[in-house]
Amino acid sequence: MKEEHYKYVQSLFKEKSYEELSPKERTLIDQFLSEERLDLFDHELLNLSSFFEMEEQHVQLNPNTKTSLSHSLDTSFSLSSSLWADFFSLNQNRTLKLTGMAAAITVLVFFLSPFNVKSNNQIEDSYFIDNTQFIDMDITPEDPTNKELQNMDFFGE
Amino acid sequence: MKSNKKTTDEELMKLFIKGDKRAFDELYERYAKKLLFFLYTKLHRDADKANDFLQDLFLKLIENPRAFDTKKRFSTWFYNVAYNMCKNEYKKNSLRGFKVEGKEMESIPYKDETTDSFDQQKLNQFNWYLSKELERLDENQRSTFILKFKENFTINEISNIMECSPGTVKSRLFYTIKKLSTNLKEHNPSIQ
Repeated sequence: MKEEHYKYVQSLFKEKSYEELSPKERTLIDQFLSEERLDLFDHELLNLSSFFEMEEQHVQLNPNTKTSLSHSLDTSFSLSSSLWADFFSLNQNRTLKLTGMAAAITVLVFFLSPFNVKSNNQIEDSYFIDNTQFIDMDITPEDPTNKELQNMDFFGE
Repeated sequence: MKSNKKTTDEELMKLFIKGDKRAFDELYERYAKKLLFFLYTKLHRDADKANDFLQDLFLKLIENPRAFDTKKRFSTWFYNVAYNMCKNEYKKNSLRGFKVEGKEMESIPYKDETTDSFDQQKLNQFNWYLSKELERLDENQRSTFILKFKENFTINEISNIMECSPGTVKSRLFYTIKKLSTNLKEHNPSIQ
């Protein structure tokens, strides 16, 4: 803002209300308000940064606030984290033990299961060969077996 | 988290939402003191109450960080939350019929003449009067003044924080400066 404009702004502050400002004057005031400058009215002592520094001395941060917030933060994070996050990040030892056990069980099952299946299969195969051949029989009306069946007296007639 | 000095507030909030505790610590470092002063001026210079409000404010952030829209500006949003907390406090007090008295200003800080220069004494004296004048302003005018000249928010940002039009902010600033200029003139030793 030019110095002559600045002088004019000073006079506006002194003589007019905001509602009385013309559109041009309002633009000038808006421009002034958008700047950082506040050395109005010949107040050479008006140094806002020093003023605010002085004011800030009246209020100090409570050191307990940060501690209390840290506790709340820890609680909040531990509640919101998922079970899986806990499982993998917080209980690493437990996770390792469980993983080891799971691996051992898998290996055991892998090595044991083929022998069992093989031996079972042999027994089952021989059983079925010996006892279930009739399943594959081709039954026709002329078949002697079928005739036998037809002549059987199921109901004691 | 990388060096926080280059990280914006909004990026810190994104990290915090993802669970980065250090991002919260950094936001606290950046805003605690500033907001404490803002709350202090809003709460009639009650430092204890300002500290309580500050703690509540950050607790709100911890409990519901997703309330912040990371596309918006964090500082404006956070000051708006603080501003609304104070507004609710005024409402509560007015419903209960409490009249909140501002803390009595200390006497003019004339310091030891042997250590302070005459200029420094004049400055201290003038600052004291300025502080007193700010106390006399209405709540909205004082907040507008602090947000503009202490926190350096733009007119539009102040209008977002205080939930009013930019025109209202300008008019409040105009009248605040006008009042200060009139009332402080008599206290300016340089023109006496």
